[in-house]
Order: sequence, then structure tokens, then C-alpha cells
Amino acid sequence: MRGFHKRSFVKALSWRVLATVSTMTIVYVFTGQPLLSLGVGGAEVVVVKLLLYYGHERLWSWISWGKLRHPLSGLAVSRELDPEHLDEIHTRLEELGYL
Amino acid sequence: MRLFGRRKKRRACVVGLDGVPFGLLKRLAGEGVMPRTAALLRGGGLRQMRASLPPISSVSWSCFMTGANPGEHGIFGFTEVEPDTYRLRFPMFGDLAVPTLWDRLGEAGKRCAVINQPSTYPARRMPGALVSGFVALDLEKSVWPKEHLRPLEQMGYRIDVDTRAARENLDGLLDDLFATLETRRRAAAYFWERERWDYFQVVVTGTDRFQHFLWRAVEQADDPRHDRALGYYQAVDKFIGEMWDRFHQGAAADHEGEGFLMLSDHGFCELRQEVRLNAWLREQGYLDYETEEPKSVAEMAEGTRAFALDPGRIYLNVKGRFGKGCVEPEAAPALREELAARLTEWSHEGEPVVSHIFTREEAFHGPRTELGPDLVVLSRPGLDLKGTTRGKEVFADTHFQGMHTWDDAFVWSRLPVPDQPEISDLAAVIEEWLRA
Repeated sequence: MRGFHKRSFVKALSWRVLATVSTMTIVYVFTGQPLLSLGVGGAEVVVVKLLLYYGHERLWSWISWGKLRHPLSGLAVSRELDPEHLDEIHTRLEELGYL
Repeated sequence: MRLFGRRKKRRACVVGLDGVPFGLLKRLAGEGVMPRTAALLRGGGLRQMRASLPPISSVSWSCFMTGANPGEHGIFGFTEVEPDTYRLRFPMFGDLAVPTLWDRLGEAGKRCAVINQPSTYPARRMPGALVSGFVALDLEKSVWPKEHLRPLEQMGYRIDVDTRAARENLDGLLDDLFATLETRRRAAAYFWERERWDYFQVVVTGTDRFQHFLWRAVEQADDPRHDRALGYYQAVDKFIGEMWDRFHQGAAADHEGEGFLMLSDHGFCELRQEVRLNAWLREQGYLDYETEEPKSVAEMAEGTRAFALDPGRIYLNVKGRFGKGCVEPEAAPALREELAARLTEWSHEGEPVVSHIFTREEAFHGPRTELGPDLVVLSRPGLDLKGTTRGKEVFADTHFQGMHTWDDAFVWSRLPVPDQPEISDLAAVIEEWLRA
């Protein structure tokens, strides 16, 4: 799971850089004022949105809906049966004449 | 040419009828007992099919659900022995060594709903939903995912009939068979609606139980339970009709019959006597026990050269393979030939006991072939081979009325099934249809 946290964080960081740069560019194109553009970029409260995005990502990672699960992920699961279950299987097979 | 819209999504629906022989299905359809089945058969598509070797549900259904041979999937019977101690063990779903059809379909992004599939206990994660069949014990461990457990409990779902009571009370067994089929029907309706699926499968195991205990009731018109017996097959036919109708309902339905498949995992015939292979091996001097009344082959004496497991699996007690092994590996081929020759000559009441003998190499292929029995023996119809260690008599009467057969299982499908199919051929046919 540690790998997924790291991925979520780096994803949040890269998206924030892209989103903030695009916001600043739009402000600059409309106003022609570089200082205002930088101010709006700062006003996006980079750190807060970064954390919000990270939190949002982690929350969705707990929701299984819409996720594709590897179909063979359960293949190696082999649960040992209790001794009383073994006796029960023995009895059932015997009842059907298989022993 | 399709310019707009998507091609209709392909689906498949499989109805398994455990142990229903080709001949019986054809006859009951022809005589009007199974009218919905008769309507399907009229359009063609029914084929006689070979079951697995040995012809027993755990092996045959494993072949169906993997498309593999026992030498590949590693299931050779309901029982195995631990090589060191000869103690019996029961292969479970976790012992299946290759992926199932629905595991593979899952890799292609398909989802499956599988109800009452034998030899899938305890249930495990899969792309879709699974309810394990025989020898499932506990419903809680038989259901994946767990969200379906409560609804199944609420509908009174039954994994199997109570075979304990069956021996003494055949009328009670019939009541139980009808009730269990009804819960299977309800479960099928539930999963049909609740699961998003590309592949749907439901297996009726009551037909196998019915035939073990009540074969004569359906075969003989003067049997006191004949009418109720036919009634059971009428109920099975109604269930088949419901599944067919559901499959063809709504906009997503496939063309008539495409993707719908019915099969049995082995055939059946009347049983007259059971034949205890271990008693025969003892009589012939290949096997001896340390105790007077052995409970299993674990009680065999030193010097035993061969033993049998149910139904007709013979193992040579080879040094290096088994704990008390005394047959030198280089002597094994000659011993196997000797045994095969004696089995071929073996007769009872003037008729041969054995119909087919397969060596391990003839019966199996794949990386686990070495784990299989040295010989697989099939008997003449009426004589049911057993791996029991009870009793010194080779031939014994039994309360069972029916026994498994190898070469008269059936498959009905309008998909391109081989002309002389084996049960392990079907998974590839279904997969090809769904992946195309």
C-alpha cells in the first residue's frame, strides 16, 4: 500500500503544477498583468488544494466500485479444512458410495 | 455492414445436469416427459459425450471448468492418499492446479455467475459470483462474494439433499430433491438479476442423487415411485425452459440458442452389484492388511504391491513413490501388464467384469500425470467398481440403484462442439464464443 500512497502524492503534485500554471497563464492572457497572475496562482492555495486532491485520491482508493481486479488474484488461496470437516466429507462421500 | 451502434454483447448460459445420460435425456424428451428439452433437441445439437477418466463428478467437472485433463489440473478423484502414510485426503478447490474458464474469461474483462459448481469448495475470489457445490459443507464458505450469503440464507438455499436419510426413506429423498431444485431455481433467478454477467452457469446435482438411489423408479413403469420420478424430470425440464426463456428475454438476448449449452458430467446405468477392487487385489495376492477390518488402505501390510482407490483407480506400491513401497521402479511396467492381463480375464457369472483398462499414459497427459493412478479400470454396466477396503467378498449387494458410466454423458449446444466430444473440449468452445 505504501507504493500507492507515494503514487497518489506524486500524482497530486504533478496535477497541481499543471493546473496552477494553466490558471496563471489564463489570468495573464486576460489581464496582461504578471503580478496579478502570480497572485491568483498563489491564491489557489497550492498546499491546501494539493492536500485536498491527495485526500480525495485516497478516499476513492477505498471504493471498489468500477475497479478491475486481476482475475487470478485469488488462485493461490487454499484454506485448510478443520478435522471435523474432513470427517463430514468422509461421511458424505461414504453416503454416496464413493469410498 | 454495421455503420452505427455496437455489436451485440455475446453471452453464454450453461445448465449442467449432473449424471444425466444421453440415452435417458433423449428418451424422456421423446416420450413427452421433458417437452421443453424436446423442443431444443428437435433443432439438433445433441451429442453423446465422453466424461473424464475416471467418470466421477469431481474429475469430470474439473475437466469442464478448466478445459484441461487430470494430468494438467491434478484432480484424479474425490480421494487421494498421502504418499508417506496412505491416509486419505480430499482434494478441494485449492488443489486445482490450473485456472478455471471463468478465471480466463475474467482476464478478458468478462464476468461470470456460477451456481452449484461441484468441486469448488471452499469458494474463492473470482470475477463475478460463485456458489460452491458438492462437497461443500458450510454455505458461508461456499459463497463469493459474501454479500450474496444473506439473500441465499433468506431464500432457504440448500447445497445438497440429505443423503443420510435417503437410504431409509426414498419418499423423503424425493421430497428433498424437489425442495432443493426449487431453491436452485430461486438462486438462479436471484443471480440472474443481481449479477452483471457475461457467462452464467447453474448445475442441478439432484439428478445424480436421484439416479444413485432411484434409478429403477424412472426406468421401470411398475416401480411404486415411477410417477413421482417422472415428475422430478418434469420439474427439471421446467427449470431448463425457464433458463432458456430468461436467456432470450430483452434487447440483449442472443440469437436463438446461440450461447446456450446443456451438459452432463457423466452417464448412468442400473447397478446390480458393487465390485470391491481391493478385495479382488487381496484375493489375487497383490494386497494384504495389518488389521482384520481395515478402515482404509493406510492399514495395508508390508509387501503390498497394488491397491485401489474409488472408483477404478489402481496404484502400484512403487518404492520411492509410497512410504511402504516395495515394487522396484524397473519392475513396475511388468507388474502393470500382469495386472491388466488378469483384469481382462476376470469374469463373473460368465461375463467379463472389466470393459476398459487404461494405463496412466493413455488416460492422462500433462505435468501432473505422474500423480495419477497406474491403471484406470472401467467395468461392465451393472457392476460398480469400488475402492473400499471393507469386506472380504469381491461382489456385494448394495442399496444403490444406479452407477456412473463413462461414454454416455451428453452435451446440447448450437455452438461448434466437436462431433465426438469429450467434456474437456467444452471450455474452449465457450471461451471462443465469448471472446469473439
